[in-house]
Amino acid sequence: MIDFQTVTLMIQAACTLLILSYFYSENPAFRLGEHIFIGLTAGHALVIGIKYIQDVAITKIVTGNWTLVVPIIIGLLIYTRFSRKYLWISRYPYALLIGVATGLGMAGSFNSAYFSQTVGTFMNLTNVNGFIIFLGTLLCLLYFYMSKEHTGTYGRVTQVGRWFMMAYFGITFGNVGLGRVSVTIWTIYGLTPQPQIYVVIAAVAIGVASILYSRSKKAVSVQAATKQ
Amino acid sequence: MSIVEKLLRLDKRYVEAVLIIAIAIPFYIPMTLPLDISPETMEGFHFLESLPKGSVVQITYDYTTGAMAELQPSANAMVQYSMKRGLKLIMLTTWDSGPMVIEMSLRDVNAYGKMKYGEDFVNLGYIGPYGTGTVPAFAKDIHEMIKVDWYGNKLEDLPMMKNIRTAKDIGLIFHLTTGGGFTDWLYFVQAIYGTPMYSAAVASQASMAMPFLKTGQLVGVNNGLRGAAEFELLTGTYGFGQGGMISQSFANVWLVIAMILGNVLYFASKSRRVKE
Repeated sequence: MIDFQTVTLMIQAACTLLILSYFYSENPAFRLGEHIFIGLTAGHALVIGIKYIQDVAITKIVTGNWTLVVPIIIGLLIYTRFSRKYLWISRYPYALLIGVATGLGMAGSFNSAYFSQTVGTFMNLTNVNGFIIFLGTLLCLLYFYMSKEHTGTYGRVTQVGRWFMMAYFGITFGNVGLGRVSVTIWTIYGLTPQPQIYVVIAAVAIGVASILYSRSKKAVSVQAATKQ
Repeated sequence: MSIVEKLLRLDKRYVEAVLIIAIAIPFYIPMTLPLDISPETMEGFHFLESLPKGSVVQITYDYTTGAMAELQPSANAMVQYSMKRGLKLIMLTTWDSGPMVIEMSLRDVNAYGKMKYGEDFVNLGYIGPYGTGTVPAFAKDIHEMIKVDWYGNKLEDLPMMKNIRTAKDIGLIFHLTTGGGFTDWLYFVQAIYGTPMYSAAVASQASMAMPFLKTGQLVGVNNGLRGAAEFELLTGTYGFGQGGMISQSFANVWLVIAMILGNVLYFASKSRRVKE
């Protein structure tokens, strides 16, 4: 008897293989997988969004916190964007959102992102690593100082700042590569145990058969074209 | 056509096929490889060890299923470690696909079987989107912001939540991140309430988190799958991290070989063309 868990795992493996089929080429199986994924993601986001409004707003309104009706109305005003006549109304909720976000952002980020990080740059200057961090920060900042032309000695100095940035981008890119390999490992790991492996075997068989069929069909059409 | 030209025109799918084989080998042939612990993971672990029994750890699952490879091992190891140490857990997310990841993590470590819901751990689920007022409001007054947990239980009915009112009552924020949400917790909680924060980031985002470790704004950083493997080793838990790192090592060896081979062949063909 096949239980629900087994069916779920097999569907999961089948969907993974639909997407992985892109490795061979763009094909209808991949597009099917892509559409399923987009549809599920959109549906899931909608459900979570509705549940969030229910938990955070509706539950509180029902229990007597009527003030929450105001932000809900302000939020709904954003949808006036869909009407050319009332589009102007949507600017007010947007202005409110941007204003609040800027205010909150300034309050929190000043200490954390600017003050602490600036102090951190000057810490441990006697230490080799600390000095390199200080030098790198200074030279990168100089690279973006556009009021002076980047020529001569100054140009060579700012060029070093560029190298620091290139090193950072290189490290980040290397890390992205490592991350992608990790995802591949996770994907293959998910396909190796039972019952997923049976789906893999079946998919490989179907894939090989369809490739051979399409090639033979192509060969026949080429032969026909040559005869003509 | 010479061998060099033939190899240069080789279909890239052969390289990918070898990569998949290299990754799959360790799944079928059990083996171990040595693993050094990096200082950023060690610092975080030392902080965890200093937490007294009963401290509250908030695990923030700010990622989707696409980042599970790098972050789920860290999350699972953290839950298992907390069980072992008797730490209380609050699970939440500011990503709409986060609740799914939380459920998977709880199922992976059999949390419902090993811990008591409401006393040892609480799942608050999706508390709202990051990048808005969600995180500051949550940090200021948890009970005002959230009335029910992910399963619809009233927060005031959960014994563990009775003494947890603001971010100050949380002993550590263990933040699992692919980028979004990281600064919200750092700027609005760590900076304002002084709640210690430990970041487990995907490898591409780890370089973004490192400067905050140097300044003491973070207590530790787990760098992608490698960081997760180190974390598992330190916490005495075994999961996908350590096993995955063996496959990662195999894959990296093949990628380095492919890179060297590609460059050698490129320059060989170039010098041949110059001679001709």
